Amino acid sequence: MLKLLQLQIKESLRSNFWQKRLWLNIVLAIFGLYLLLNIAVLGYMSDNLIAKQFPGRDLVVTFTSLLLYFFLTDLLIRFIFVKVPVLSIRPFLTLPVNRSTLIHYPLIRSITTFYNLFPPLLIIPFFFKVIWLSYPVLFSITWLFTVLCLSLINIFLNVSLKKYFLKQPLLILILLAVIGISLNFDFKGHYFLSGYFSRAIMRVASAPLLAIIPIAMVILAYILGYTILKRGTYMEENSAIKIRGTSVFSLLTQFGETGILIRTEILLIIRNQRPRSTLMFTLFIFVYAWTIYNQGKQAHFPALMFVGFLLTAPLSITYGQYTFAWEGRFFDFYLANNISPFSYLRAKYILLGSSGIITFLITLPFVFLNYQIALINMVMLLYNIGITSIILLFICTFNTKSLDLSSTQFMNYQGMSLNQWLIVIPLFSGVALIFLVAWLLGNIEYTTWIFGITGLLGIIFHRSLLRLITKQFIRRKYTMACNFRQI
Amino acid sequence: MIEFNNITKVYGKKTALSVDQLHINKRQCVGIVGNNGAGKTTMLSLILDLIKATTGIVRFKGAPVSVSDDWKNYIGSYLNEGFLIPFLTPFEYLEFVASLHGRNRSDLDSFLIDNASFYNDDIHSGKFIRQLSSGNKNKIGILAAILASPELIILDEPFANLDPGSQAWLKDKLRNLYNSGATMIISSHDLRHVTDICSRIIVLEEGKIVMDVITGSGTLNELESYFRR
Repeated sequence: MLKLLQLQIKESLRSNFWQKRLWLNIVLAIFGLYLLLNIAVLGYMSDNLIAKQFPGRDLVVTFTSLLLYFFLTDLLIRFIFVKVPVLSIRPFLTLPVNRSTLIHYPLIRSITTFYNLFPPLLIIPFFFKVIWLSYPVLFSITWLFTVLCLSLINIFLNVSLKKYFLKQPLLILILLAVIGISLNFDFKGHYFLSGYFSRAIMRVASAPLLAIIPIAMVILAYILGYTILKRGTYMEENSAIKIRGTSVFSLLTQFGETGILIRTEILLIIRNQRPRSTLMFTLFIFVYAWTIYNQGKQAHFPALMFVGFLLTAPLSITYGQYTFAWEGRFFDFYLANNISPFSYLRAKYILLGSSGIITFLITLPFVFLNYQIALINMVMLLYNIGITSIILLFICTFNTKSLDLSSTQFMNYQGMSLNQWLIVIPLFSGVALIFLVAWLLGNIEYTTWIFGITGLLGIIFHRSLLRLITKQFIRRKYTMACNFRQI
Repeated sequence: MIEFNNITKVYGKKTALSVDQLHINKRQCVGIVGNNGAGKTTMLSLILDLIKATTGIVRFKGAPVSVSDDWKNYIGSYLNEGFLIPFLTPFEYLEFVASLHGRNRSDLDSFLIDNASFYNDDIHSGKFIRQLSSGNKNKIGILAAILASPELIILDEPFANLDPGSQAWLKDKLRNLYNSGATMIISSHDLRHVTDICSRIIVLEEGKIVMDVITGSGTLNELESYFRR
């Protein structure tokens, strides 16, 4: 186990990311410490916050019930951001290392990740400030033990989620729905799930023998993680991948070279883990949109414009910024085969634009909440198709790092370059400029006209604009291909 | 068909290829041999416009390959795994390449029937290309290169990772294609294969052409003694 740990440390220290992106690690470390401090302060101040927000309610019961949301959110954040420290086990399968050691290792190692400091930092200050002072010692210790067990359950559940449930997006949606519905009940004063949750914890705390229940749950979560990881150690299991999208997108091949290229790119998205997980960021855009749209007619106009911008360019924002880099490892195929660069770029343009049309149609029912939404989303759709997609394709000709399609996107900086940070400047400065013009004209709502008209002009002249980008692509293709080959 | 005029390709301080004049005529089968790093792949990559020459121009049928894409209609090539799309099944990949050359499904089916002895069931197994062995990946790449009956076939190390039966099949296939009028440029480390198939052999060393001979009965011995020195 110790040797595996040494290898893991070497793997991290010798990774391209650690060696080439030291400054980014330092920034992330400072950001992490800042987050830890915030969590600790939140834990320490939570009795005051609860007293202010829920006057007259028992502090401990309320804090415990709120922990349900903390743990659900914790699980979600872990799932999205926390990497499971899994070594590539293939080289070890034929070496004298127990298969079970290879499986226990990532499970035990996952307890030591940085993010695991968050739950104790939130809970322990509150524990010493409130519970320790107002409850018997045995109750207090059992309460703390139970709550920390729940945190441990999340750690092991995350391993299972990452290794198995990642392939089941429906389960993620169910988890999100449970959080949403339960929160909704709580806000309406029914305290449905959180009420049961706090009662259960308090019951266990008051009868310490019942602490066997959280212990059993931790063991179960560990066994589940172990079983799922064990399945992954057999190479034939790993290779049993379902072929998706063979027939569904075949219709696209009727639309000539561009259609064939669009189909291939859709297959790239749905058959590879990294582009698939990138698309999950679209969910955040929908959640953000939901919070703004829920304000009904109270929603501010610029906020609606911003949401409209994000919603009608989902693929551009998430997947599009890595255009060409997705195909980096087989970019030579596109250069050496009978594919016109114009069609290649046009296929990408149509794909980016179509994703906006789909999300625009999905958000149409929101017109019943606020009639402005449909209008705003329509002009932002025009702008994103006509302008954003074009800007994005141009900037992406500067992408020079190929992406590893098989890894996940979360907390993965492989293939990321300065370009991905700089891309925001031209994309958002166009939007800011339009707002500035409208503000100078004296009415911020003129932006709808300006966005609509510029977008429309972009769509009308898209062929000419694409031809310009094609010239740029032909100029840049050697540099791109040369860099893509450096894996 | 292919002309190199004062071509150099420099990486940093190293000259990977330096060729003053080279003409490869129609209906020639040219074998490119040389030690590792001699410039074989650089030469093929320049013909395919995958890299830009530091100086000089590569022409295909008189037109610079870096200016027009017209050559893509006439050349079939496979250099390495970078030519394969890993998330497609072999059949989908070949279908994709066929469609880019204006071939339909029935053309592909008859091509696969004609060449069935070269590939195994993997092609129809529903596995992704990324799941295939190196040898089978090579086979898919080679099939894609010859699929559209191109005028010029360019292959880099086509015999690498192939089983003996497949090597024999490929040798016969390339000979047949050559006899039916195709032009070929094949790089290989296997001198026997190259001299068996090719009508002309070019030896590269440190980026320069050091030998350019028409294949005859003594060529294999000549090459072997050259590399043995």
